[in-house]
Amino acid sequence: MEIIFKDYNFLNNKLNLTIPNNSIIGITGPTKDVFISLLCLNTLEKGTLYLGDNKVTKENIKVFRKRIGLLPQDVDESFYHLTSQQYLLNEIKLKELSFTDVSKKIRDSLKIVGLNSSYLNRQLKSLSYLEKKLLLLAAVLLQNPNIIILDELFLGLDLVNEKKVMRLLLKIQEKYQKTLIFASKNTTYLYKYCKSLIILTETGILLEGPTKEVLQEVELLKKNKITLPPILEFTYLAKKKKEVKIDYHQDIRDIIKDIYKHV
Amino acid sequence: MEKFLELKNLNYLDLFQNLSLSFPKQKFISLSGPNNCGKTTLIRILSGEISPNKNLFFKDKIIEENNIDDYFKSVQSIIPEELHFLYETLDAEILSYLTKANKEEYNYLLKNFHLSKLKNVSFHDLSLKELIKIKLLLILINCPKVLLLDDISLFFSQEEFKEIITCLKKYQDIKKLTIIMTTSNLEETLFTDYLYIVYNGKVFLEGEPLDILIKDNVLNKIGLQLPFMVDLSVKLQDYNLVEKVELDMNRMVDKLWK
Repeated sequence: MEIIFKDYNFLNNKLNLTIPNNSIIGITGPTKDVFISLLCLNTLEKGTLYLGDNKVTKENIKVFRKRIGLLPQDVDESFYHLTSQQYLLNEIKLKELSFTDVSKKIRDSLKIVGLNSSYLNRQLKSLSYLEKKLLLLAAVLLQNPNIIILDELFLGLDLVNEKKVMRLLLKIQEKYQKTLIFASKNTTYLYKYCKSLIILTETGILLEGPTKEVLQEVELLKKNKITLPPILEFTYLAKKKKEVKIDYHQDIRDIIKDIYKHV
Repeated sequence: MEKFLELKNLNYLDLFQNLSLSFPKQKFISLSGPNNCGKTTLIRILSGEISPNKNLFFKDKIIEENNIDDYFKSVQSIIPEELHFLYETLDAEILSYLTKANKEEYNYLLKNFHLSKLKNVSFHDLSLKELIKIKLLLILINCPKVLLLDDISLFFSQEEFKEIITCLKKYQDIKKLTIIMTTSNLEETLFTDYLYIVYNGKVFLEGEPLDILIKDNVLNKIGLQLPFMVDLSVKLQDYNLVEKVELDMNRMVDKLWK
């Protein structure tokens, strides 16, 4: 589902932006939480917003809210005493979802994220960090959203689990045609996994486009206090200080080969 | 290392087998390891929240029911998901702690943690990172001997976290504080004096952070990612392009292209 903002109020400025269907996009910057709230349709602002072919209005905003799922950074502590089943039932109630067979829907959502039904009776506080993230993802999938926003998904995950979660998300994206929006203050993850990137400042969008191109605007990004992936910052420094002709890489092994060729 | 706080031969559920850790006085120690290695559980055990079962020693004394209250005063912890306050605002909360003697200290912390404007804001209206900073301020005013931090960096930007660490290190010197911090990000262990890597219920590696972090193959194998500059240095060493680990990007560029 394509998202189109036309002269839409964002931080008291007009936002014009199209997020294509079935894409993998990253967002970063000091106002990412405000942007997430905008994407989640928490309020309807001045301007025009289309989801697919439909204009979002006061009348239909509730319906479209269900098309967008937000995976928060962590589970709220107040839910820790609940079992996974109670948590998912609570989510169904909160989001006003209705299913003919609730138990089946819950089991199916858990299955997609790789958790079996034995998790249903486990209290949230007994789950590992990764298991909690997967449960949150299962909760999001219950509403079958077209767009999934993942807030700081990778923070706290080790390399093995980071890769595991990313493989799962790519499978879900491909199989169910979802748009994935990764929001993070860590641009290293966004550089690694997102095809395009939106950089936000206090006043709106600073830059938007293919991730590699956006992140190569080093001077502008630094001026706006956006932390760069260190691999990119190092390359920039070598180019600027020593006029070395090395390329921007994502993998450290590639930059090592490039350095070897150019020293 | 001189012993101050110790865990001896800890067996807990199926998480730890004969795990022994030693934390010297006035040192900054990091505990790291892959997901599910028990980092948060270790903080709970060290804080006395989980019954230590005669494995926890403080100043050579076993921590048991009869001395646990004194221990709670000396050892205080921050687990981000479990922040509890007695009152609604920082201003209300601080009243029970504040004396003439620590007023200046309070103002210093307010300024350094950027909390001055939040003194009267209800805790309900604050973000988790603001609440973490408030808890940290309250603990530091309370002058514990040991501060336990459970992966607090997850909630801060790199710059914000560096600011907190700088402030904590100043405190560590003045108050002779021992800091034990769990982290899932090995980059942060570089701020600390000593590093334990826990894996499969045991101490997998221990030593000064840089001596541990250069073991790239072993760390990658257990799912840990090296800090970029350490990783770059180690790999450049393999190509004989640098002689030792260089953490500063500018100096590394100068070394490579003289």
